[in-house]
Amino acid sequence: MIIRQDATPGSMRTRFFAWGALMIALLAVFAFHVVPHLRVETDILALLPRTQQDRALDEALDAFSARLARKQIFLIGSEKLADARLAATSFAAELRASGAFESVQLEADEALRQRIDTYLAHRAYLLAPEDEKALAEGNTDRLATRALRAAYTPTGLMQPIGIAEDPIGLMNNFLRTQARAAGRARLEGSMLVVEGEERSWVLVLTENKGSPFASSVQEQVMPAIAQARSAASRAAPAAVEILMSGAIQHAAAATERAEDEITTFGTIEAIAVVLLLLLIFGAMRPLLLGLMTLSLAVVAAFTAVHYIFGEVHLLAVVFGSSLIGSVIDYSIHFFADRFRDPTRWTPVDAARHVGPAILLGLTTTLIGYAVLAVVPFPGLEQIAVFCMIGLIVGCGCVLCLYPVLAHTRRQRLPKLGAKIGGAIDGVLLRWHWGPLKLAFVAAIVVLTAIGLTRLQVRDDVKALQQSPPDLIASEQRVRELLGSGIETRFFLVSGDSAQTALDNAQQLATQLDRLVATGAIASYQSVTQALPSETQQRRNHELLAQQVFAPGALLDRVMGSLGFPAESIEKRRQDFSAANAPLAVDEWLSSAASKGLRDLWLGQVGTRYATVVALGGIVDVPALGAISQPDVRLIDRVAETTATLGRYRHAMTLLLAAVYAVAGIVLMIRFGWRDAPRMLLPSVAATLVTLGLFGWLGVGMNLFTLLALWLVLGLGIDYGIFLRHGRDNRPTAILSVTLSACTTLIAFGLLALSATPFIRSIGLTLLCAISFSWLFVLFSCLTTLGPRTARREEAIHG
Amino acid sequence: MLLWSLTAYAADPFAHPATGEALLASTLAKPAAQLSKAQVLKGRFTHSKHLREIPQPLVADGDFIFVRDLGVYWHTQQPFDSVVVLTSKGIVQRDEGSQTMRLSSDEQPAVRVIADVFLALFTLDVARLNANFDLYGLSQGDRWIIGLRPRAAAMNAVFKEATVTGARDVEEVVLTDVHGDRTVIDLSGIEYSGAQPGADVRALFELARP
Repeated sequence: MIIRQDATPGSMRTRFFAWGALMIALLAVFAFHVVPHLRVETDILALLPRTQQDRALDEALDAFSARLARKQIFLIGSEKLADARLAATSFAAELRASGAFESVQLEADEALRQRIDTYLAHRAYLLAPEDEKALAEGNTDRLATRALRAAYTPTGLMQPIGIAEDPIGLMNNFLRTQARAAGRARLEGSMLVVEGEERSWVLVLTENKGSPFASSVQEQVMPAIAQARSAASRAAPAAVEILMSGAIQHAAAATERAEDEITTFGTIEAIAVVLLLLLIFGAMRPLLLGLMTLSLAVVAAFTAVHYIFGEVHLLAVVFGSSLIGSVIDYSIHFFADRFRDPTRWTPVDAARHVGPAILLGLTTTLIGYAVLAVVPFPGLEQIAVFCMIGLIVGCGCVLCLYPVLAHTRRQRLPKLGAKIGGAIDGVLLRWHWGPLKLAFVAAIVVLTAIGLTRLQVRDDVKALQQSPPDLIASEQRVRELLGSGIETRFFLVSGDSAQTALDNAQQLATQLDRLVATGAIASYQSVTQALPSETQQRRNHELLAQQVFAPGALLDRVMGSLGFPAESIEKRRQDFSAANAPLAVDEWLSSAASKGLRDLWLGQVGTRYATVVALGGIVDVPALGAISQPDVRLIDRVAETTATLGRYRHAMTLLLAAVYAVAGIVLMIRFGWRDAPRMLLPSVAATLVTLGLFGWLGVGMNLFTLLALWLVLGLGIDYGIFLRHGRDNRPTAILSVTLSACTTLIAFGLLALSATPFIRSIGLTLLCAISFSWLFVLFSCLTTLGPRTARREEAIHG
Repeated sequence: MLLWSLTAYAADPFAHPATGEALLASTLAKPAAQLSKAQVLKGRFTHSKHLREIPQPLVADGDFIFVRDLGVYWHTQQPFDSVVVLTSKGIVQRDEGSQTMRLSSDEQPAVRVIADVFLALFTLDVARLNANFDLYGLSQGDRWIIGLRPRAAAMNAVFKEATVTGARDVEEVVLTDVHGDRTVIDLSGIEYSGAQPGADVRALFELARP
């Protein structure tokens, strides 16, 4: 071996040491810097591009969604309320003890008094909308009557503040508009309780510390919840059921499922590839070198993506497994070269012989991914970078390391490889394109064309990311029990200043009030419900001054008839005159009064101010769309996402065609107009037949189908290049391409079984398209039409 | 008798913490047992509001009908005619035939709690009271007094503490707010009926239907 190594040319040895050193440095960086900070993102939405023109606004909306995503609702139910309470108490205690949560709320609204005090301090500027209307219309008799009823009947007991504090009841009525119901939940003692499904459920609200999509957060939160669940069951003597609603359970399920699948599929893949390679090459060396190459390629890809994007998306990892296909292919082509001449083969020969083909294949594939990288779609950029870096490093390893490391003293190879290559070649050599066979091809063409017309497009993001049914059921039960749901549509309201934004929101609110009245929506939430704009507050103040506190007005009338002495009345009048500040945004935000609505206020965004108006129980979507007001926009994230996926699917279809054209030109320059189509068309045909088949089978096409077809482009052209290059030794070239196709099918065939719809899309597409691609490329490159036999064809070219 | 009731009033019930079970077992055993059998409870009330700033209390009176599982029909006759129907679904007020106010407990969860508590006070539904209040109580002979302090801050804003006194029946409920203003409700002439309410009585509650 030492002797043989000496036979390696100097330039190759230099390359070996330089590349080896680079790889060792890479491993060190990966182990000590990347791994400790690695963040795997599983949310499909994180892949999507920014749809709005305003970047700052987009970030603010993201932050808003992120805050919502951090929240969870738990319902702890049992037949008896007392048992549910016991369970909920230890459930909450366990969650608090875990330290995984920012907040765990079991006791409801302790801050009611602080809330009331915040508003009381600005009572001279606040009015309930109905009272404002009554005062504006001068309809003060009704208000006077209401005040007397509160003094003489139990209705007065239903008010948060007493008659002495609020003789006319205006403040009480304002506060009543502030009582934000948590759906059907009501206060039992200090806990919020709902009744339903013949059980009593205690509400526990939590907020975790980081993004629910970060695996580090999931690892903290999910075990804490599991532990709290068992603590809750232990605490109560009767059976306890716990329902949960929150993004984290879906994210955790997705991560867990992906990890399970990657482990299961990865293991099966590894075993299958090992067996295949051992069977063909009869030695460990090709296998070990192949695995080393693959590992280095994946490590390099992870490292690059980590540094460029700050996180690695699950989808990039899935596509990373395509590297098994491509990178192992390079090793396979390299070692399959031995079959050309098993006794005299040296790795230096192989590098010279297959090197150009590998480089050319790499070039066409890189063109494809480079195009993918310029599409302004964060997810695609990641995939493109991941694959390009992985392929370059894989190719580098094969060309720089193998000439030195792949030395072998073994002179003999197992017969199986040569037999497979020979057998397939035999079929192809004897192949004659008779009328029957051509008719069969014509039938396939027709069937494909019909299939393509039936092909359905399915861009719906909900169909691409599905949660396990039990989680969806739990979510649904929480929604029904609480009588309120999370809507993905909301209004975004902005303005030049905080006050304009509030004014705009207030204007929108009056339109939404109409929709609530007609039943188009069940409810809405706007900060203006708890924080009227300054314009509104000044209007209130004016009305109060004229209609209530003016001498002889409502205050005098009501307090007089209740029997208050003159000085009591005067004191209230003075308090009103002394008040000179409306409730300001900042004060409201930092007070208990903003609890529950605070998140809707996005604050300063770029040069503007923005707030979200959330909707509940949407019945009539067009009615929402019909609202047209400057600086108010209906945001529908699910529909937007679906539309975006559709737009990119469309753009990528065109790009795929363009990339095929470019690849065709590259091949044409290198191989001439006669051979280039033979290398290119099989991939095109495989793509079309796959889509046609999907049309017949009713499998929907989406963005991820296209991503898979992108892989087919690279791999299919590689097959063509290798068959063309290996024309002088057809069985070896056939074996090489067949092994490549097999490893890819093993890797992706299993993805077709994935429970995650978008991964399944990729798997299914590749399973079909790679099989077709392999089949077509053999016929396209190695058989010929017309009267000439294959042997004559070979003789002419050879 | 007068002397006895004075001493009972002088005693502070809040010095005697109790639990729902304990009260039911001793202090309230008799009246609660009797009330639990009643389907309909009728009587007269006097509702007086004592405000620090006004020397004379604001007094109203009228009659009421409590129907188990329906709620209470509260008919104020003096100083004006007004009907309040209180159910766990909410509260509706009607003056001289026209509806002037409606608070639904679906929209205002606090209303339901207070309505429930109000109903529980008159029927000595100790289990329900126990869920929302710390309970206190003492008794002497037939007479008893219980005290309630809300556990939730939300309730605290409405009243700080309440006392219920009685012997055979509930006789007086006093609610005191954080400022020391009091609402005193005296009940008299209470009649029980174990029979299901008739259609005429049920019709009174139709008012509360949404």
